[in-house]
Amino acid sequence: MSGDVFGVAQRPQPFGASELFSDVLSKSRLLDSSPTELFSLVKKFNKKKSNYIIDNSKNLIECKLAIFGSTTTSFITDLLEFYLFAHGIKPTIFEGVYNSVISEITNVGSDFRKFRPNLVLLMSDVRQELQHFPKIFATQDEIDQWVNERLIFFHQLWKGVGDSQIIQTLFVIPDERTLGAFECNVPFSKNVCIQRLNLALIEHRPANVVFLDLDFLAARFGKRRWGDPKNYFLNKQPFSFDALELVVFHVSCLVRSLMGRPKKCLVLDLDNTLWGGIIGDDGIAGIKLDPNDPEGEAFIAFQKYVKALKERGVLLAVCSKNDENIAKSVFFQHPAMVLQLDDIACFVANWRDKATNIHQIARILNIGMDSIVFFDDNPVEREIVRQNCQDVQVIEVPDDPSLYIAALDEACAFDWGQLSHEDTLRTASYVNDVRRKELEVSCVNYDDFLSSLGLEVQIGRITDHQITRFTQLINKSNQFNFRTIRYCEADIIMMMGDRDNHVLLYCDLNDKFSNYGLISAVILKRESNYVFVDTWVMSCRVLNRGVEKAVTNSMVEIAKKWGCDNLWVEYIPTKKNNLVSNLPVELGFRTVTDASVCPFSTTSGLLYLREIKEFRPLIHHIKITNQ
Amino acid sequence: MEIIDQLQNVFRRVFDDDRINISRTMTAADVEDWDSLNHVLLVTAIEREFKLRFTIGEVTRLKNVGDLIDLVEQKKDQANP
Repeated sequence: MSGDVFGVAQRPQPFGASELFSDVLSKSRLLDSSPTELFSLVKKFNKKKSNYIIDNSKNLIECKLAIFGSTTTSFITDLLEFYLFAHGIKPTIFEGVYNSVISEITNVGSDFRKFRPNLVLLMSDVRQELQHFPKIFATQDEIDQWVNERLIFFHQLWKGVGDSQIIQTLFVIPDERTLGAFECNVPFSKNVCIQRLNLALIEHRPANVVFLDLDFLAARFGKRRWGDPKNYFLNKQPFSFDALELVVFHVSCLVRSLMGRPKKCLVLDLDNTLWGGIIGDDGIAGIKLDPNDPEGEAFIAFQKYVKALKERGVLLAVCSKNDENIAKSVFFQHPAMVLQLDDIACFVANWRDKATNIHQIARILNIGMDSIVFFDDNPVEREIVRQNCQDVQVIEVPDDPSLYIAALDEACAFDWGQLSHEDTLRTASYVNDVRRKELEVSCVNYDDFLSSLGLEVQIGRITDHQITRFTQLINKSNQFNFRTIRYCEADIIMMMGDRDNHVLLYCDLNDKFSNYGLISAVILKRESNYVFVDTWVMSCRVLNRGVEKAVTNSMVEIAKKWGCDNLWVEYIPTKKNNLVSNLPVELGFRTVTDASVCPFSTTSGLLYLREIKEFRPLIHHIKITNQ
Repeated sequence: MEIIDQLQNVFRRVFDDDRINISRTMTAADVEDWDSLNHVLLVTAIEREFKLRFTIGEVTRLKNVGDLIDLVEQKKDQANP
């Protein structure tokens, strides 16, 4: 497998074309678009096509594709060209005249011969090519002979095409049964014979032929909706226009890998992607990965699917916002983990943004960004990667983990033109040879990204209906937790009653993707002339979005109202909260090393101090909506 | 909205041309882009727009836009008597 050394400059995307393409490849496919809308997209692109080709000439792979069909192919051609451009391919398409494949390939001087294609797509159809079937009660020998005659025909056809790579469709089993329920109960029925022929084709596949399983696509789409008899009779159209997008998408993914642009690596998140819950907060016993629990079973099934991908040569990488040791602990300790550390060619767990991390993964594995597929349950993470890693395929992950396999499968990310024994050995060679490179400066324009999220918070004193959630957050947070003091609801209620000396702050967050509810909890204690941060916890899921700054600003406001001079933070280290050990410094606090200055007694903590007088509010990209 | 206006909107969408004005005597020869592919798209779009299904016979008997207007009117009446 050749890897491009990362260092290829980001491809310039001329205005317009990348928006047209992004729907095709990244966010959502155009399955719900009507045929009219699809073709109108194609027309829009065609207006910009020549400029697009000029701007991107260095990066487009040229491909000469000939298409022949025993049914109409013209409606496939236009849409296919558009999808191929979206995949970074510049296609030149030769469309064979309907039902002319034999004459075109046998005629030495034909236009087809002069065209010299890289790829030849042959679309076969039962109704045109299989007009005679074995008789009723035909013997096994007669059935075999029928299959062999057609097999020989195909082999001669493919030989006649020559050296080009061939994509041959398998036959769609018709949506009708003259034998009724008995169609599948006897060997001589039309549908069973077609199945036999498909299997024989597969068994005797030449090296330069790749099959496209049109029957599988028809089944996935729904055979009843796939068929369009009216338009078959009118226009020799092989299937409904509604199925066109599905077929063209699959053909384009196959062409992409045959033309040397396969995706090689699946980058996976961990929390709520490989298991339910958040390991840093829930602990090994709290995450959902138990085969006796339906949700756990869904995640186990997803891991099995991903493991099977690794086993046939896809590289797996982890990119998780977690402490590395905590993240790895699940692999070491959880009995139900299907994926093992040996299955992961590159393991990245830290608190940096994922776009920068993916760039690093590409460097470490020595592959191009355009060979990476990203799977993460968090829409915010997907957004930062989409915005900053344009060549990465970002899977639109559904909310429900039971649908993860379908989402990954249907994305056709790893459609390879061939499979070899070497593929199965790929991960082992990476695991043995990983070089940890120094993390370079982040390439992400983080401020732009944060602004694009539409972040909003509400910060204020908690009220009665928030007590339960407030207490829960305090008791389950381990990582973003300065002093790890646990309280019960009664404690909270008592502190709420003492308004002169205690302020209990809640922080609710929402952005354009989601409403996160309560994500940070603060307990401030008023002393003679200073305010002590008794408790500050936050959900790690919303780290580095500016909430820390907004909360700090609020804490200082309160200290000001109380007429206090200073705000004190104590950090008590535990095995899990290393994350916040230096955070106060980043927020404008200074470290206090001389314990005698501290107005309260502290034994094991680190101390941070913020003077109120000259405090200037920290800048962030969040709108405060409840002032 | 009159059926002819609704139909005109469909034509304009399919051919991506807001200047198209349909008339009863109009045929495929009158519109530059009206090839067989666009014909199929047009029929499909009309079926979707009016929530109708044309039979194969009805489609093959259409000779001009006037026939199309009559057909849509007739089928709409049948669907909602």
